[in-house]
Amino acid sequence: MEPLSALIDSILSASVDLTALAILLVFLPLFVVFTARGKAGYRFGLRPIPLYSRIRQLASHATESGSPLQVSLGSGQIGSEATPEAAMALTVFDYVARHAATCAQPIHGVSGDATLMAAAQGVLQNARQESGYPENYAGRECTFYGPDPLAYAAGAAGTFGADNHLALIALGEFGAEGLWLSEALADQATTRMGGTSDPSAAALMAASLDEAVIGEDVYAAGAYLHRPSHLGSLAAQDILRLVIMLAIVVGVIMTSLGYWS
Amino acid sequence: MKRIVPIGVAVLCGLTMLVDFFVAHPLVDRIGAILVEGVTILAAFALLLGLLVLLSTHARKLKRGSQPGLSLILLIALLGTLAVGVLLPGSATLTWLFDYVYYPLQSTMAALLAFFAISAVYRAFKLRNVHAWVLMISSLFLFMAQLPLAAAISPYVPMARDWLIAVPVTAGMRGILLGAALGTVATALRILLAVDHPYA
Repeated sequence: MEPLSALIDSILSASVDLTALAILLVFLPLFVVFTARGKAGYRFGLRPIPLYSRIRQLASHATESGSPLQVSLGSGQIGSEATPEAAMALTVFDYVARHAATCAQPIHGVSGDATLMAAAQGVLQNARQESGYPENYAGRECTFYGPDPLAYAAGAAGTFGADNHLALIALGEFGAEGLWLSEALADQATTRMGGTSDPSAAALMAASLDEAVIGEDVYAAGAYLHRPSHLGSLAAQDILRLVIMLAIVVGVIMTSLGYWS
Repeated sequence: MKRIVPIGVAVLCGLTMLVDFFVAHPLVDRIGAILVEGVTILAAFALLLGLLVLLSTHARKLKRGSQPGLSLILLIALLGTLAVGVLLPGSATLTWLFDYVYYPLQSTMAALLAFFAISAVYRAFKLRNVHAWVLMISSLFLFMAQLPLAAAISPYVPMARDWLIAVPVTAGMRGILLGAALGTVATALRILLAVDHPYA
């Protein structure tokens, strides 16, 4: 019992991040309830996000035309703080890869992180196998252009022009290289779209890309494309956002009335 | 089985790291440290894999004759730097390569960003919708308000500029950050509870 009580003591110690724990404890039940409802077949209403509609159209167009899409997965390392953004990049890549694999069409994934490239190779291999064309997977369609963000952008831009791609989808963790990549392809009269959650980089990408998502919309990719299991977590996010807004309004009123300094 | 094992390992490792974040206990801290070390080792192996893919991609391009010059430069630079790094680690030659080849190239590319930002903003300023109007008017106001002349015109101009930055801009940034934080929590929970497994 002593180790257990020591463990409980450590949880209750001052070193615990109580704010993070409180957010987790509020979010977790909402997440479980809404995800269960989503899995039971409840359809949540979704506001339209033009980027994801375009990705759907272009994935179909690419399979018909035979011109591949280039999915630029960003520089987010799996296992680092950028893992959620990298996961969303992989989700978009999975969607496009499944479309391409169904018709045995090419696709191209480029990343600025080696762990992300390895994960993308796994995603593509699964897509090819599940579509019944495992022989089409050669391990060459996902490329890594080095851990330097600008070198990655230059490599991705160079490959894009050389291989006659239909469109660029750059979604994931990007900094200034997102702008570099997008603008380097601006004169090729092609569709460029994507987004990132970092506010500074997102502003630059939103100015440059034809269609862009910023902030939380980046994390909605799965729910809008092919993962209905993500819908529940979107609903939980909306509820928690309302709670935060309410807390901000209450905080402003209380402070204005002089209850909090 | 091929999917269950990686998903199980990911969930177990993720939950352990979550517990490590909240609990200050020597045993949990040690397990967390081992897992973080494991990630570093895996990332190093992934880098090796990435290097091999890069070599094979450009060797194939060289053979196929599509942009052979660029691929040749890349291969020579990559193998040359690798050879110098392995054979003469920490030498003056390696430092020279970084100081006089790598950093100037990096600076050149970074300098292009200024021109790219201008061309992106020029396109964004095309008054297609209300957002573009708001962007243009607020940007022009902020540009003008930075000038020393602005304070001479009216003392309210610098005050309005400071208010614009401190209130609407900061509020917008915080809104984006809060939304992104909620998205991060949702994505992390989906992976931790095996609702989503984008890697398998």
